[in-house]
This record gives sequence, C-alpha cells and structure tokens, in this order.
Amino acid sequence: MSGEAIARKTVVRIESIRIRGGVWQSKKFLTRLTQVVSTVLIAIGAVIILIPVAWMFSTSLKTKFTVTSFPPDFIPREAQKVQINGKSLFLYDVEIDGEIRTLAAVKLDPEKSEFVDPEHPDRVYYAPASKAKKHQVVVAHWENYKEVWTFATTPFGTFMKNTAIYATVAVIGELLSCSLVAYGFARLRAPGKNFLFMLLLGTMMLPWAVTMIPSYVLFTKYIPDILNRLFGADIRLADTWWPLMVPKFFGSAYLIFLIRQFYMGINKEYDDAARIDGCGFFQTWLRIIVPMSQPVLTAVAILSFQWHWNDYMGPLIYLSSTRKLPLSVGLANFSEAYGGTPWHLMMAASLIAVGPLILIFFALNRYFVQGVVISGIKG
Amino acid sequence: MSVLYRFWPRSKLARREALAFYVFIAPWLIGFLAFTLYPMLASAYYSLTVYNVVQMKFVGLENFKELLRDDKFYWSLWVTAKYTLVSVPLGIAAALAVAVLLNQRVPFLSFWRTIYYLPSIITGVAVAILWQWVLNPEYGVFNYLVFKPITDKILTPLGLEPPSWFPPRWFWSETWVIPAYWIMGLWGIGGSMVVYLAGLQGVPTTLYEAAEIDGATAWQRFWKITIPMISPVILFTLITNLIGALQMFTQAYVISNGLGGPNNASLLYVLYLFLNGFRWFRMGYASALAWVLFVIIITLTLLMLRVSRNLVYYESPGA
Repeated sequence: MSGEAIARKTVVRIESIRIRGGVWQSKKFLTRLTQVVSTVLIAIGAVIILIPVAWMFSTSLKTKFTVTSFPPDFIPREAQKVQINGKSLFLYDVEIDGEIRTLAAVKLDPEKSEFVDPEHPDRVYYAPASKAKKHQVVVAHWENYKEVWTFATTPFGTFMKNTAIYATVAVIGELLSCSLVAYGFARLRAPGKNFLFMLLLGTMMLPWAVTMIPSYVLFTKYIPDILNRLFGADIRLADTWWPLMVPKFFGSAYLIFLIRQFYMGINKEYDDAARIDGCGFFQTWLRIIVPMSQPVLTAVAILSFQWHWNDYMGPLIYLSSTRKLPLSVGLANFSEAYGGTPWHLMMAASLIAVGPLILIFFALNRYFVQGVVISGIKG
Repeated sequence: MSVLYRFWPRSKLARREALAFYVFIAPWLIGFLAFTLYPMLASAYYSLTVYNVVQMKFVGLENFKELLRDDKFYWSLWVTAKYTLVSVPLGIAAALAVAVLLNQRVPFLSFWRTIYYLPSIITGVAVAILWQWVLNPEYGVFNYLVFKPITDKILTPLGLEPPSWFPPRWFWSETWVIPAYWIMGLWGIGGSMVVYLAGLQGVPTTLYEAAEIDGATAWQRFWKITIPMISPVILFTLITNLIGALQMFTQAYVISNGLGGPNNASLLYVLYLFLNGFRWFRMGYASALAWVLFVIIITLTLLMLRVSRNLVYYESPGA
C-alpha cells in the first residue's frame, strides 16, 4: 500500500470517529466511566473482605448466650431483665394503643400476655404476644478481652510471651544471618558461587515435609546424644525452644534471595570507595551496605516476624508442656479447655493474638507491600 | 590437590575475596548441610525403613509398595488435587481481577490496597478459628448473608423448594469442606494482588496508547498487552501458590482437630503425612510420602516452566 493510501485511510478513520462519537463515546468519558465502575466494584469487594473481620470483632463483644442468637447480629445486643417483687422479668417493647412502651413481661400468652410497667409495678397492661418484642440494648462486653488473660487452664499471657520471644529471636537471627549471606552472594566473587546460588534457589522448592522428620530426630535424639557424650551432661531438647530458634541463625533461602536482589541494585562504586578508604569486606557490609538497605531489611524483618508469630507446625512438633506453647498452638487448644466452643472468647483471643501484627502492618504498611513486591516481581 | 589448585584462584587478592565469600555465606552453608542436606539424605534413607524413633529396620522399597496399596494415600492425593486445582486458578484469577480494577486510576489506591492485603496478615490459626465461625452452619454469618437471601428472595417466590444441601454445612459436611477451604483461600488473595498491581504499574502506557491508535478494543488490549507483559509474574505466583497449596496443613489440622474429617473428606496429603509421622510414629512411611510429594512438586514445577517457555514474555534481551 502506498503512503498516500495509508494516510487517506487514517484520515477516514479519524473522521469516522469524530462523526460517530457522541459524548458517551469520547475517550475521556469512557476512561471516567471505567474509573467509576472499577471504584464501585473495588468498594464492594472491600466490604466483602471486611465482613469476616467485622463479624469477628462483633462476636468478641458478645456473651456466650448472645453469640448463638439468630438471626446473626453484627451489633452486640442483649435482652434486659428487671427485678420486680423479687422476680426477675424480661423487658419487652410492647405496642399498646399504637404506642411502644418498654414493659416487663409477667406472663406470655399468644392472646393475652400480661405486662407491668417497671417504674410502677401496679400498672398492668395486656397485649397479644405478637405485639411484643424483646427489648434489646446494645452492650459491648469489653471484659471478654480481660477474661481471655485469666481464662481457665490456658495461660494466655505465657503464650503471648513465648510467641513474642520466639518471633523476636527469629527476626534477629534471620536478619543477621541472611543479610551477611546475601552480601556474599551479591558482591563477592569466588569459585563455586553460581553453583551454591542455584542450590540456594533449589532449596526453596523443597517441601518442609521432607526435612521435618529427620530434623525432629536430629534435634531430639542425635544432638542431645552428642552433647551429653561430650559434656557428660543430661541435656534434652525435646519440649524446648532450642530446635525452633537455633536454625534461624543459619539463614533462610527466601529471605537471603530477597536481600541479595536489593543489594544487587546498590551501585558498586560505594563499595569501591569504601575499599579505597581501607574498609575490609565486613566493614563495607556493615558501614555501607546495611545502612543503605534499610527498606529491604525492614521488609524482611516484618516478613520474618509475621511467619514466626503465626508459626504453628514447628511448635506443634517440638513442644508439649502447656506453659511452653506459643499463641498459635495455645489458641487452637482453647476450646478444649473450655468444654464446648466459647466463640466470644475465641474471637477476642484471636484478635489479641493478631493485634501486634495488625499494629505493625498499619505502622509499616509501606514496607509490607514493598517486601511482597520485591519477592514477587523480581522473582 | 591439583583439582583444588585449579579450582581456587591464583592471585592473592582474588583468593582473599573467595575466602571472604565463604566466610560470609558460612551461616547458610552450615545450615544447609545440617538442616537441609543431611535431613534430605536421612529422609531418603528413612523411607526405606520401618522407623518409630526408637527402632529402625531396613525394609528396602517395602514402604513404596505399601503406598501403592494404601487407599488413604490415593484418597489424600485426590483431596489435595481437589483443593489445589480449584483454589490456585481461582485465587490467581481473582487477584488479577482486583489488581486490574485497582489499576484503573481508582482514587485512594493505597487505602484499598491496605484493605485487600489485611487478610494476608491474619494467617495460620486465627484464620482457621475465624472461618470456622463465619462458616458455622448454625450461627455463622456466611450462610445468613448468602444462602438465606437466595432461599427467601429467589427460590421461595418462584415456588421452588431449596435443594436438600441448602444451606451448605461447610466444615461439617463431606461435600462442602473442601469448597469451604476454597472460599477461605479466596479471602487471602491480597498477597498475589499486590504483586500483580506492581507488575501492572510497570507496564509502559505507551503500549496501550499505540494499541488504541491501532484500534484495539479494551478486551484485546488486556489479552494482547496486559497479560503478556505481566506473564512472568503470573508464572511466578502460579508456581509458588501451587507449591503452597500442595502443602496446605495448618488450617485443615486446626479445623478438623488433626483428623482430616469429616470422614477423611479434608485429609490433605501433608495432614496424612503428619499423622503417619507424629501420631502413629510411622516415620519411615511418612518419609516415603514426603519423597513422593517432593517428586510431584518438582515434576509440576519443571512442567510449568517448560510449558510456559513459549507463553511467557521476558523483556530483557537474551531470555
């Protein structure tokens, strides 16, 4: 096709757009329409996402009687009782002569229920039961959040403390080890490096189910045996936190990879300048690289904290005594201790349990997202 | 020695650097040897034995032969497949849909992103407890908000009788327990969504503008530009989500009280493995199960990388 023909065709197309297009077909209008529709859909989705959380929160403020009320109510409400002549009676909203009054029910009957005015017990009213509805008052039982801590056989405070210690130690261990190892992989040249890096990536594919059983045997049998033979002591590692905490100081493939990706993006001239100024490799890492990597290190710290705060499998395998358990396992055992499921307390306990994570999330939202993005995009 | 000599660099400076490398990566290397390589080899050996932590007997391939006769092994594979094959594609499609919507110059972007990401923070046991309550057949809010309106507003006015499974009994029902996990998984799409959103924001707008001038419709632009441009990210999430789904454990363990019920309907593969290893102390058999899982994961990953070779677009040259 000649250039002229193409030009003519283009002109025709542009003109046809101009002629056909009303306001509703203009580009600006369509963009705006997409934007509005998207926002509405996103908002609906957000409400759906939040419903379970709202339901969790509302349940946590109810009592064991009102959690099972039907229909489910997002606002914690309950019926009220009053003492009249030594009897405790339920309050009802009764329609009497077209007027709603709050009265105490003496006798309920489909035809002729008997009510009295709580203020003046001598005033008696009669109405069919269909005209009466239980008088409900919004009551938030904040004391549930207190009861969780003192509840029965489960020392919630101890669980919390154990989890906090575990998560903190894990963050320190992984931050230290991973940032060191990542520096090696990002900056230093050595024979065998590529092979080792492939190995590191390969371990990310390995299911934990494969290493779980031998690790358990290693920590509960072989390591204590060796230690006891060497030192003549009587060390037991089953039902201790050691098997869970020690490996954290030996790095985690995924986090090493994450940090390494970030280090790779730092201009190498900074390193060179430091070297010229007489810094060794360790100094360069500590003084130059680490301070410049604050975003990725924060992201890694958050990820690590989150994983270990929630870790269930590890503690489930290694720990057995109640006072050593973390929140995750303690929470799962909660209903056994109560006999039946105390949904209101479970929800309060779960919310307290995830509380620190949510606080950190809102405080450091930026880094959270960043961590996920680095891992996903550059993967 | 001569091999090592050739392997190791000659210049003093390079030797120092190589040494420093090994010092820096020493924590990982030691950890890899002690907590990954050794357990891997040990696990391979255990899979050939009958082992209950106290006594060990070498039995050769007996565990693998037993596995082929084990109905529960096939059943747990089926349960896991049922969970994975729906929850992974569903999660990716939903996450992508939300990301594309968010990418339409929606106001308060970071606010919405925060909300959608929120469930991803609440992981593990708390999620299990929460969803047990939300999907509670008697008092849960899900059936009340979804199934009661369907019955009251649609079926009853049309004079239709609600089917016998209405409303579903979720974690209490053999049929509905796995779909309950799909829904639960859908709640946690925030992680993938954030990744897709970042990917979408990296697609140059000039591509869309050029396509528009050429007369491409929005649908064409989505399939011909958006999808190819973020295909590496989709492949990555597909692989990681698949590996994660195949190893789903915590929620199923907590919700079914470690039994995989009702009537083994939620006996996911890793749950069955865990029961063998730590409840019945059949460590050898559990190790055999673990290796089968490993082979499945490797096969699927390589398969996906292979198949995707012609489907995924990499911008960088040489790829």
